[in-house]
Amino acid sequence: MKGGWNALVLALILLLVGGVIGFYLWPNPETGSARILQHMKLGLDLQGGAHIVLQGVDSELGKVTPETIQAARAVIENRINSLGVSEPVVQVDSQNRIIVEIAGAADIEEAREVIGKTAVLQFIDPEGNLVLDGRDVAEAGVAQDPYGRGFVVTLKLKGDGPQNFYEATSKFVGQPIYIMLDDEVISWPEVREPIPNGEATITGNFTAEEASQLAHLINGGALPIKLVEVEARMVSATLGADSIAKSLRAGWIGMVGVLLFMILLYRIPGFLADIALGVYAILNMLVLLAIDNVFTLPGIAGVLLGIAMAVDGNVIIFERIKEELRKGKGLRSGIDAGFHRAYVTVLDSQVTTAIAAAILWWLGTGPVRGFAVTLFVGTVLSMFTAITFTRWLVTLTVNTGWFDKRTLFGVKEVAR
Amino acid sequence: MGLTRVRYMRYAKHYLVFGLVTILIAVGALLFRGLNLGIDFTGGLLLDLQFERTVTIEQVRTVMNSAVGIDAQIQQVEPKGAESPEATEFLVRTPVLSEEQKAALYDSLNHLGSYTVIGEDAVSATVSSELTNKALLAVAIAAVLQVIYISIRFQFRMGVTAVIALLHDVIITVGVLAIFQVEVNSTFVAAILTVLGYSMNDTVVVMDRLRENLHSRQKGESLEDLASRSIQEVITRSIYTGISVQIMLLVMIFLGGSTILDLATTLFVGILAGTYSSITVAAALWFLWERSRDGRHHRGPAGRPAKA
Repeated sequence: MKGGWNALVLALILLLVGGVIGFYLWPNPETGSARILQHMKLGLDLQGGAHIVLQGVDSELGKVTPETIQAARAVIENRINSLGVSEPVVQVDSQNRIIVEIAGAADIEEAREVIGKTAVLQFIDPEGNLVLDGRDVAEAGVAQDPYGRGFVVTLKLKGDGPQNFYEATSKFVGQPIYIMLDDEVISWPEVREPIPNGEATITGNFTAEEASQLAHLINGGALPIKLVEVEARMVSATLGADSIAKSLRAGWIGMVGVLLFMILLYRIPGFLADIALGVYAILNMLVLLAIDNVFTLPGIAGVLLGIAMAVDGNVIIFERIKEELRKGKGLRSGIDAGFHRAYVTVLDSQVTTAIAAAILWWLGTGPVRGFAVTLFVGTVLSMFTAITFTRWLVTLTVNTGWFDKRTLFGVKEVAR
Repeated sequence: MGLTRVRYMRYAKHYLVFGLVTILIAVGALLFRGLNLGIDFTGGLLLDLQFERTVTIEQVRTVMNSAVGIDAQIQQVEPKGAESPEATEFLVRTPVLSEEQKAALYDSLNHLGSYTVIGEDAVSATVSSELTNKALLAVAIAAVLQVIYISIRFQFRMGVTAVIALLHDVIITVGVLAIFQVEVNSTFVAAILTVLGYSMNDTVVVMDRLRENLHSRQKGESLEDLASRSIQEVITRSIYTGISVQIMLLVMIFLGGSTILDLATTLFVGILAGTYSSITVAAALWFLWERSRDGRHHRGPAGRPAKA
C-alpha cells in the first residue's frame, strides 16, 4: 500500500505542476497571448513605451554646446537609472535634442516629472546670499523625520560646503534658511543651533516616495542647460513586434526540446527532472514577479542561463547516481551517495555564478543589471530545486517499489 | 581499475597549443577585420517616416534589408498629425548612410505606398562608454571574487586557470563575431555575460572532480592518470549539459527571427568554447602547473617521473 501512496503523491504533483504551467502558457482566448504575459512587466525592447524628445535651449543656466548636451544626457541617464526604470534609451541628435525612450506607460508621468526638472538646488540665507548649491552635495539620502512625521532628505556636504554651512548656521540661529529647487522654495527650516558636521536635512513632510525622488534628483545633479519637451509619443518595442512573437515561439520549442532530451537521456529520472524544472520555472517566475522585475532581452538571457544551470544540476546528480550504482551500490544507497556527492558540486558551481551575478547587480547599469537580477534569482533557486526537490521526487519514485537499478537508471547489475 | 581509459591529459600541451592558435586567430580577426559595431554603439540616423496607408514593421524591415542591406531598428509610433486613419508611422534607426544609400532607401520605400519623411536626424550611440566601462569594472571585480572563492573552496591555482579559461572563451567568442562580421548591439553585453556565467559554472564542475579525486588519490597514481580519470568521469555530464543548452540555442537560431539571431549565435559560439575550454584550457593548464610543482616537491622515488 505504501507504494501506491507514493505513486498517488507523484501523480498529484505532476497534475499540479502541469496544470499551473499549462494554464499560464495557454493563450487567453480573449487576448490571444499567454496569460503569464499579462502579469509580466516588459521592457522597452519587448513592449515599447514612451518616446520623449527634449530640446536644449540657451538660458541663464548655460549655453547649448555639444559638451553641455552630453552632460545633460548623462544627468538624465543617471536620473532614470536611479528611478529603477529598466534599460532606457537615451541619445543625443544633431540638433541638440535629447531623445529618451522608457518602457511602460504607467511611469511616463513620473519619468517626465524627473526628466523635465532642472534640479538646481540652492540654500539661501535670510539676507539673500547663496550658502550652498547642488554642487556642494556629496550624497543625498532618505531618513525618517526625527522631529515629526514623514520623511526627510539628508545631505552629506563636500568641499567648502561643510564650512560654509557651519558659518551660515552659526550666524543665523533662530532664523530660517531657505532651500530652493528650481527657484521654488521647498523648505524653510529654522536654524536651531550651528551645524558643524557637514550634514544638512531638507524637511517638508515628505512621503517616503517624494523624499526618495527628491534625493535621486539631487544625486543625479542639476541639468547644465534648459531642456524643453518638444515631443512625447508612444512607441512600439525596439525589437519589433514581428520578431518577438517568433522568438517566443522558438523559446517554447527549445524548452520542449530540452525536456524531451532529458527524458531521452535518463528516462524516468529525466521525466522527474522535467517536473523539478517545472517547479523551478514556477518559483522563478513568482520571485521575479514579486520583486517587480522588468523583463528585457538581457533579463531573459539570465533566465535561460538559470534554466541551463538547473538542468546541469540534474545532469550532475543523475550522472553521479549512475556512477555509484555502477560501482555496485544498491538503489537506495546509490541514490543517497549520488545526491550527497553531487550536492557539493552543484553548490560550488552555483555559488561561484551567484557571486558574479550579485556583483553585476550591484555595479551594473542597464542591460547588465537586467541580466544580473534574473541570473541571481535563477541560480539561488536552482540550488534549491535541483537538490531538494529532485531528491524528494526520486525518493517518492523509488518508494513506489516499481523500479530497480536497471529500469530506473539503465544501469545493469555488474558482476564484480 | 577502469577498463576503457582515455589518457586525456597526455595531450594537455596539444590542447593548449590549439587554444593558443585559436586565440591568435581570434585576436588577428579582431585587429584586421574588427567588430561590426551596430547602431547601439556607433549611433547613426533616426528617420521618422509616415505612410498614408497601413504598413507593417515587417514590410518596412524587408525593404530596408533588400534596398541597402542594412539591419535597422524599427519601432511603430502614433502617427503625428495624420489625416487618414489608416496612416502608420515608424521611427527607424539605421547606421550612418551615404547619400546614395539614402536615395536608394527612400526610393525603394515607395513600393510600400506614398510616404513623407517627417524627420531625419543624426543620433548618438545609445550604449554610453560609461555603461561599457562600468560593465568591464563589474566583470573584473566579479572575476577577482570568484578566484577568491575558488581559492578558499578549491585551490588558488584552480581559480587562476578557471579565469584564464574565461578569458579564452570571451576572446574566441568575440573573434568569431569579428570573422563573420556579426553585428554587435547592446544585447551583445548580455550575451558575453551569459557566456562568462556558463563557462565559469562548467569549469567549476570540472575542477570539483579534480579536487575530489585529489583527496582520494590512489596510491601510486600519477597526476596525469588522476587528471585523466577526472576528465573521464566528468565528460559525459559536460557533453549532456552542453547539448541541452545548444538544443535551445539552435532552435533560436533557426526559428527565432532576425533580431534574436545575433544573440543566439553569439551564445552558441561562446557556450561551445566554454564547454571545451573547461577541459582543454582550465584543466590542462592546471594539470601542467600542478605537475611542475609536484615535480619540484617530490623529485625522487615517490611518484612516477613526469612525462612530457
